Amino acid sequence: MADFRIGWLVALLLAVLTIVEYVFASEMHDTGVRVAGVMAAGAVKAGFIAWFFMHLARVWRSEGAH
Amino acid sequence: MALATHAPAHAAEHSHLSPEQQLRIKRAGLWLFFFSESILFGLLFSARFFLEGTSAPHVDQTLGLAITIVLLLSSVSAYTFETGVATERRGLAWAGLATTILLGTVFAVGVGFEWAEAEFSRGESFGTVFFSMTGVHAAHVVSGIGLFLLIALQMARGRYSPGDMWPVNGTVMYWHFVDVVWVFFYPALYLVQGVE
Repeated sequence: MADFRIGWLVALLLAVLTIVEYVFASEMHDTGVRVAGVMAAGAVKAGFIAWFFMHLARVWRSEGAH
Repeated sequence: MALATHAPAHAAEHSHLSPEQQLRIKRAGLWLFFFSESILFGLLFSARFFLEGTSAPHVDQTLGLAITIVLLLSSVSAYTFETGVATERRGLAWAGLATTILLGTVFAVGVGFEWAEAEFSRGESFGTVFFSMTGVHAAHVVSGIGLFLLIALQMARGRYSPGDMWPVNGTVMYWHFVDVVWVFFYPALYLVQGVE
């Protein structure tokens, strides 16, 4: 059950970050800051997906799939 | 000659790899594939900024946000599918798999709709990068849907269990990778120019 909870928690974080990214792009008029902000949000989201959903840590571990 | 002598010995050595070692090799191979794919997507991503800087003509922001949320949700359903197989909850696994296929299809249709109503042509530089980036990405989404359909066929025949689910792990990881790519493509195509 813990695995499912982690999945939905990460999903919630991704949804919040996507909305924040969208609002930030709407409100920020400085192009440099806007580009840096939305790309940083993208990098954080990619990190969450890679770590929690793609099991990045397992690449260096030796045990089985689950 | 030396190669001919050593090749069978080399093959025999590999056939004696433990299941755990084989799994590690498969995982490493998949990550190398992701690395090579990242170069392709990275080049498309750089082309967007090289050709157009941060400017862009009007794009449908609502549609862009909607398909992004759909793809993120499909990552969660794919994760649910994988966890369902790993914990032997077949019903949940089927629900996750069906939802992933459905959301992936909605995403692909959304991209098609965006193409149909685009206010720029492929002859313009933004059109070139937009259609290339979304097209190559959507092709990956469609191939992911195809892989999930193959997995569904195998699952219907009773395959996959916690100890035998590499095809499930590999396909789900591929799906997440496609999601990661979109996480960068979405701001590059829809947000860097600002939302009106």
